[in-house]
Amino acid sequence: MLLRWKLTKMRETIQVGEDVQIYDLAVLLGEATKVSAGSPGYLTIVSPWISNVAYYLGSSGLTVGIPAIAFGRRDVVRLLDVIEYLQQDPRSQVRLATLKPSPNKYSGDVIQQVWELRFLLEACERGAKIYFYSSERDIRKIMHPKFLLTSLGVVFGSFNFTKSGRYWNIEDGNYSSTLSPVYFEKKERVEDIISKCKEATFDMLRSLLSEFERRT
Amino acid sequence: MSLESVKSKIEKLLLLLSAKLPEDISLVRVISKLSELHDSISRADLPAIRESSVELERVRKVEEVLSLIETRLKQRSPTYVDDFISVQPLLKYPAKIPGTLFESEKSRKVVVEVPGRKSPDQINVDEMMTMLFPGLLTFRYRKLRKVPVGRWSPFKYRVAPPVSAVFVTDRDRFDVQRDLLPSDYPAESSTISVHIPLELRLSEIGQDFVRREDQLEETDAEPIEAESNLYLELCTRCGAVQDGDETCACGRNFLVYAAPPKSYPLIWNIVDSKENEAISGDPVFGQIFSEVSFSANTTVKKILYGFERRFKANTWRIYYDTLYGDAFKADGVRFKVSRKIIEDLVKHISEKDSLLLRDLRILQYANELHRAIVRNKYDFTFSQSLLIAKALLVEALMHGTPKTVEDVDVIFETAKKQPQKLLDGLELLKKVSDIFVPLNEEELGHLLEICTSEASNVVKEDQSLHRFVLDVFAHSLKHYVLTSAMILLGVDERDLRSHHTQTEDQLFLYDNLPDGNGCCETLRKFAKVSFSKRVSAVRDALEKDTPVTLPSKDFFSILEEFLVGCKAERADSVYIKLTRDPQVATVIQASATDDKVRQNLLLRLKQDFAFDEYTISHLDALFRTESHFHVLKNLNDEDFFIFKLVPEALVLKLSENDKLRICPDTTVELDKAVLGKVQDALEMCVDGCPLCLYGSFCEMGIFLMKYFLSRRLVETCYKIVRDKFSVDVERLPRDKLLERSIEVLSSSKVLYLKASPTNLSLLMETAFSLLGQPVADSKVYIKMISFDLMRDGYVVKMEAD
Repeated sequence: MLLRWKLTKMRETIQVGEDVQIYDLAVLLGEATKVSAGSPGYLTIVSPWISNVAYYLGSSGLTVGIPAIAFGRRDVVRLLDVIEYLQQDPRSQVRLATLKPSPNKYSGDVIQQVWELRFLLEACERGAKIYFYSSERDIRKIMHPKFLLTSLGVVFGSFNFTKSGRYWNIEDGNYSSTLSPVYFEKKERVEDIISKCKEATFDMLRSLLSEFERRT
Repeated sequence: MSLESVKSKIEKLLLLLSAKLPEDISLVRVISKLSELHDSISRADLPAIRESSVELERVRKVEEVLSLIETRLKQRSPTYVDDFISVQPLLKYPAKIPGTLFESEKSRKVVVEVPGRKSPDQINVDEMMTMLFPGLLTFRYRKLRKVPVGRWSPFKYRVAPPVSAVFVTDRDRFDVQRDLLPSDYPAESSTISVHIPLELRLSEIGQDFVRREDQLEETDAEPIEAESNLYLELCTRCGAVQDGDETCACGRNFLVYAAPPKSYPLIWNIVDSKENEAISGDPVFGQIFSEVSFSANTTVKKILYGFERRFKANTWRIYYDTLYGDAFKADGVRFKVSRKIIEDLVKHISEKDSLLLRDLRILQYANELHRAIVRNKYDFTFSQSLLIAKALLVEALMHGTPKTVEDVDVIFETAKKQPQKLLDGLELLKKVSDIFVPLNEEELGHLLEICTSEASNVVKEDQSLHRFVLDVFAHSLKHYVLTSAMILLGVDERDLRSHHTQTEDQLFLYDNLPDGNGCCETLRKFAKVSFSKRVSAVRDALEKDTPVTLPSKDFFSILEEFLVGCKAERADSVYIKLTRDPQVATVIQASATDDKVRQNLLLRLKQDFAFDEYTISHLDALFRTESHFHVLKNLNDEDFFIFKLVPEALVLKLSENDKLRICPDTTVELDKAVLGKVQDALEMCVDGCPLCLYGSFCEMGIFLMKYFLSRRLVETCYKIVRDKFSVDVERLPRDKLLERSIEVLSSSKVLYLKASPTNLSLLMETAFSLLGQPVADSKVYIKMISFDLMRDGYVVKMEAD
C-alpha cells in the first residue's frame, strides 16, 4: 500500500491552516461513523491548553447522513458531544492530555483554568481518560506539542485545542492519514507523551476544580 | 355666544318689535314668545347646565365603550385584520383580505370594488386571479367562511370569464403568439391579446355566482349535472356554508346551495432572459445542466388562461376566451438541460430499465389519449379520458401485468379492434367505484377507433418517446429546482416561480415581483458555497462576534439531498422489504393487534439496523395498520406505479378472504370500502412517489401535472451521473483504489466512495487518505458521509474545492 502511495504521488502530509476546523470535524465525525457501525472509537488529544471547542457543523459544508449520529443534525457540535458519542461503545478509547492545572497556566487568569477543569471533569464523567503533564525536574520545561489523533488520521501543528487556537490565531500545521508513514511517527510520539503524563482521576479533578473555584 | 349677550339681543329685539306693534298686530305673539324665552334664560342655572353637558359627554363615552365591548364579544376573537374588516358592511360576495400590509409597493395592483365599502381595496394580479375562482382558498372579509362558486357546467370546456367584473383598457395589454401558449389551449387566431386587469368589481362576480335553490328547480338543468350536485346549507346573511362541522352565528335561515367544487387557476408563463451571467457550478449538476446563469433582465409574462375544477373525484379543465395576465421584468435564474444527459437517460432506460420505460409509456398513452379526445371534440373531462385509459388497463391487468413497452402498446392498439375490451374494463370498474361515461356503446366504439388510433400514431412516431421523456424529465426537474430553491431561501411560490420551456429544454426560476425581490440574487450567491468561503465566514463571524450568515446547505446540496430520496420513502421501503420476508411478515401481521409483539419487533429493528426515531415511529404507524399488510402482500414491488394509477384493478384481484381481512367490519358495498383501504395503502412513498414535488402554481395545472411528473426518471438521471463518479471500494483491488479515486477527482472534481457495512473500515481509510490531497489547483475535502441500508450502504462524497 505504501508503495502504491508513492506511485500515486500523494502527499504524506497535508498543509493545514485556517481550514483546521474542517479537518478536525472530518476526523471526529469519521470516528463517530465507525462507532455507529459497531466499531470502537479512538481519540487522543494532546494540547497544553484545552477546552470544549465548538464546531460549526451547519456552516462547515460537511453533511452527516447517518441516522444514528443524532448530533450530526445540529448546527453546532462540541467536543464533549463527540466524546459522549464515542464512549457509547465501551471499547472506545478517548484520552485528553494537557498541562497540569496551575494558577499560572492561563497567565494568572484563574477563571480560564476553572473552565478548563470543568470541561475535563465533564469529559471524565463521560468516560474519557485525562492526563496531566508536569516536569519533575526542570520546571521551565513544559509540554508544548499539539495533536488530534484518531484511528483515521492525525492533525498536528501549532494550534492549541482551544477556540483561539482553532479559529482565531494565525497558526500552522499538518494532517496525515493512516496510509502515511508520518501518521505512525506521530502516533508513537503521542504514546511517548502520554506515557510521561499522569492520569487524573475523577476525584482529583473534582478537588482541583473546588480549589480553583475557591480562588475565584 | 354667551347667555348674557343672548339676553341683551332679545331685549333689543323686544324694543324694536314693540315700536312696530301698531303697524302689525300679529307681532304680539312673537313678542310674547320672546319674553318667555327671556324669562327662561334669566332663570337658567348656568353651572348646572355645564355640569350636565360634561355628564352627557361621559355617558356618550361609556356608550362607545359598551358598543366596542359588544362588537368584540360578537367577534369573539378579534385580530388586527378582523378589526379592520369589521367596519365593512355585510357581504354576500366572495372576497379576500387584501395583502397590502405585507406587500411590496412595486407589485402591480388591481383595484377591487367591494360592495358597500367607501374605498376600494388594492390587491396584486395573482390574488385577483385567484379571487375569480374561489374554492382554492377560504375567503374571508368578515368571519371565516366558505363561499360557493356558483353556476358551472362540467360539460363546457370553454367559457367566457366574468368580463363585466374586470375592467381593462386597450392600452394595458400585450400580445402573444399562439405557439407560445399551452399546446392544449384552444386559441382561435395566431395572435392573442392578453389584458392586464385594472379593476375587479366583486358585486358582479357575486351576481354571476348566486344560485338559489328555487332558481335551480326552475331551470331546466341537465339531469346528469343535477345528479352530480351535492347540496350544502348556506347562510343568507353572511354567506357562510354549513357543512356539518361549521356554522355561523347570524341566526338566519339557511339556503340550500349546490356544493362548491374546488377551482384552481391555470396560469401560464412565458419567460425569457438576456445578459446572462454564469453561476458557479457544481460538478454533479454540471452534468445535468449545461449552463446555469443569472439574469437581471428576465422578462416574465403571466397569463391566466382558464381553470381546473375538482368535484367528487372528477376534474375539469376549462379555458377562458379572454386572457388576463401581467408582464414585468425581474431577476431570474436559467437552467439549460444538457442534451447529452437526455441522450444518456433515454439510452439507459431503454437498455436497463424496462419497467420505468413501461410506466412512462403508460403516461404517454394517457396524455395522448386525452389530447386525441379533446381534439375530436368529445368534451370529455381529463378524468373521463383517464377513465378510458384506466378501463383498458384494468381489463388487461386481469390477464397479467404488462412488463414492457411492447406489452403496453398491445393493450392500447388492440383496443381499437376489440371495443369489447373497453366495455369489459368499464364494467369491471363499475364493480368497485362510481363511474360515469356520457357515451353509449356505439359512441364509445367510435371514440376508441378514432382516438386510440391517433394516440398510437403519435406514440409510435420516431423520437416520440425521446420527446416525451425530455418533457417529463424537464418538467419534473423544474419541480425539484423550485422546491430546493424555496427550501434554501425560506420563501414560497408567492415569491418565487418557475417555468419550463418545452422547445428549448430550459428551466427558469424568477422573482415574482417587478424588478425582483432578491430571491434569485440570493440564489446566485448561495448556489455553490466553497469550503474556503465557509472557513472564512466562520472565522469572521467569531472575530466580529456575529452569527454565521451562510446557509448550512447551498442550493446544489439541497437539490442533491432531495434527489437522494426522502426519509418517508426510506421508511416505507423498509416496511415493504420486511413484508417480503415470510418470517418477519408473520410477526408484522401479529403486531397489528398485539402491542407487545410490535414493541419487540421495533426494538429489534432499532438494535439490528440502527434506525433513527423517525423511521421507528413511521414503521410503528405502518405496523398498526393491518389493512396495509393485506393489501401490499399481494403486490409486486415493480407494479406499484401501475396499481397506483388503477387501484381498482388491485381490488378486483384480491381474494374474498383478503377483502374481509382488509375491511372486517364492512358488510355492504365491500368492494368500495376495500378500494378506500387499497388507495390508502398505495399512498406509500415508494416507486418514485412524486407527492412532495406537487406545487400550487404549476403551469400544467394542479391535476394534469401529476401525469407529467416522474420522480424515478429524475432519480435515474442522478444515478447515471453519480455512477460516473462512483468508486465501489469492494470492487477494486486495494492497491488500485487510491489511483482510481485520484483519477476520478482529477477529471471531475467529485468522487463518491461507497461500501457495504462490512467494508466500512476500508472505505474510511481510503476517504481519509484522500482528504486534503491536492488535485490540480484544488484540495480534496469530505463533503458528505451517509448511510442508507436500502440503497448504497455507506457513501462518502468528496469534492475538490
